[in-house]
Amino acid sequence: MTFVPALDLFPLLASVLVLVGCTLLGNFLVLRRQSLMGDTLSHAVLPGVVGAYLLFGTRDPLGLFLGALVAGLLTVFSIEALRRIGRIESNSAMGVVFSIAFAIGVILIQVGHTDHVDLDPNCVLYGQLELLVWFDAPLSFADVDPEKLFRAIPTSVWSLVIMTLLSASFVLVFFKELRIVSFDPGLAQTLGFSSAGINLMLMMLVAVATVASFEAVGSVLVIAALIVPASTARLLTDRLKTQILVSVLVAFFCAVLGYWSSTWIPHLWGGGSLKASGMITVISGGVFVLALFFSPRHGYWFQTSRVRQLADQVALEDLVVLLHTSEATGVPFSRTTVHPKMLSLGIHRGLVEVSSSGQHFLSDLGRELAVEVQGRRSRWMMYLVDEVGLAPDHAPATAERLEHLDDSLLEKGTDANQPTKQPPA
Amino acid sequence: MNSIQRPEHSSNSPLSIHAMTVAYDRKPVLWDVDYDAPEDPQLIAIVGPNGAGKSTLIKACLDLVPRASGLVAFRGQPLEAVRSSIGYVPQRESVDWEFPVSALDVVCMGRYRKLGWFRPVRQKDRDAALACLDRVGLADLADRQIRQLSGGQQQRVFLARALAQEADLYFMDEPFAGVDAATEQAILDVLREMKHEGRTIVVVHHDLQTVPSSFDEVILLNMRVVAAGPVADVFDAENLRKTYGGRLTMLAEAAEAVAQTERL
Repeated sequence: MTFVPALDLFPLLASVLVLVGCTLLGNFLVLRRQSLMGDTLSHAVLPGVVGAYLLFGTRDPLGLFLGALVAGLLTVFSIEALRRIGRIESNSAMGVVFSIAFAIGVILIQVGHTDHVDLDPNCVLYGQLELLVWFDAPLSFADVDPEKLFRAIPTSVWSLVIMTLLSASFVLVFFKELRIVSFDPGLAQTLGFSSAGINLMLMMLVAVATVASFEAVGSVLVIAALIVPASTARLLTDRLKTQILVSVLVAFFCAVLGYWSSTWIPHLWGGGSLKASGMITVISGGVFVLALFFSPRHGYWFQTSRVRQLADQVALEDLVVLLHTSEATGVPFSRTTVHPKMLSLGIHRGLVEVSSSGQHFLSDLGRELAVEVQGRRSRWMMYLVDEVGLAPDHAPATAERLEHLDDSLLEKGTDANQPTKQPPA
Repeated sequence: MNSIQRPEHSSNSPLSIHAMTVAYDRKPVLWDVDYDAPEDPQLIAIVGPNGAGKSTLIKACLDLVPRASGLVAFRGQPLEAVRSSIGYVPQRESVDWEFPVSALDVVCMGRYRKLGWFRPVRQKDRDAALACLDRVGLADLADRQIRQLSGGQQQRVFLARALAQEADLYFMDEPFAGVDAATEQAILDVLREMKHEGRTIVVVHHDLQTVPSSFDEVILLNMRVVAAGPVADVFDAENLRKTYGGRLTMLAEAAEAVAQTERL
């Protein structure tokens, strides 16, 4: 599938800007457990957009933008008011406000007969990325003249550029403040950083981001852009700065891959078209699921494989000790006491060798490991008898279980404050 | 016996609370609290049964919950004027320990007030924060994500953050909650050091047994100040019974605690 500047350049640019700009703010929505705020604002701006159209009688983007912004701010304030006056939980407050606001928007569309100017519910959901056509575009990307390109950029893409710059500077300038207010609002307050002030700024910017993105990509992708790449990054890292960087990379990748596949996939069954915003959302979801399974820290796959590795290690250590004892005592080692899979794994790892007569014996590497494990066992034995006060005849059984553990634990054995969760090995 | 005589609301007291009433939903939780902390640095315990308003008392001093009436002054000045010299350690459960920050990041937050708005954390701040982590014995764990710390270690990270604030007056909300005896001792040692550096520390405390051995002053609270003053003067069976009411288990605990005082 070739890249056609006329059809693809602005939609692709818009997708990238929407994803990156929204994701930057979305990181903090996710961390502050305010993910529903994205849903809320992206739906609640509708009555503002339609109201502005009915009021000014034009589709002038500035008017619509102002209308949406007013609606967004009203939403933020009414949620806060509902929470305080009505004493209801913030998720419920958001649910109440956005469903009613969206419904008012839909009613306004019908009452005002605005359907014919494509303010219809369908475009509200999916946006109109495909309408961002560059009519005078050259045929190939190589011929694009930067100056002409600059002049051809549509207003809605400009507003996305501004939105992304605003979000980026907000996160950069207020990084420290956002971090403390999101982590420990009580301390932030006593240090003189107003939680309410930062929260209001964040909400206003989310409102701006949704409004700017809304026309181009519709509400579905706005919600995804705010939450999905940030949640993906959340799975991949334990540091805030890294999380924000990763989320921006993920957002960029999803925008490009999603857009590209929306133009490419229809060719699989011969033509037709796919909504780019839908495809980008689906791709973001796919990337999230991949992260869920393959994240190095929290991922399902690594967690289970870590357990498997540990089990193998324990079984191999038992195997070499068994062989070592049989070598030392001269009692031949009976193959039936060991799982054949472990025996072949031992051979594979170079711990065990097989003689021409089919006899198993330890390699030098295997002997080294056996000695090391037995050393650990006797150190644990000493610790258990001397420090813990276990009866000498009970110690060997416990020591055999502990010998597979790292010795560093033994050195710290007297420290009463072992972490509740060991960090990943 | 009630609180001992002190000069009324001395402007030199690091913390003086005057006629403070706090209400949630028109239902008062603290009535007419009057208290003046001694001028000299002290370890002050706030004790009282559940729902007595212990956390509310310190939150109201810090303007974290609105006061229905009353005044709080810090060496004669309002909170706004002295913010940078007041430290706060919230309850451990009040924050999200899954948050993507390291122990060092959390301790650095103690220096945000000094940094002011917009200015990023510098290497100098990280060094200072690391020194504070070292004081609570956690320098080795500076880079750990905070979820990977034990409850006692998390509590000590909060303490290190308080140290990084370099305040004159601290409010700590149950810094001993959920820690083992060794950690409790370690935390207490740091609190004593802080006192010797001239800081006053107000601690919401749960364990009556350790009040006589660990604190200088005590505020016995049950929606009102039942008694307040030096532990030796006010921490007695009579006042504890007034604070904890007729609860038998509490009474038993109180009796034990008083027996300890008398042994001291």
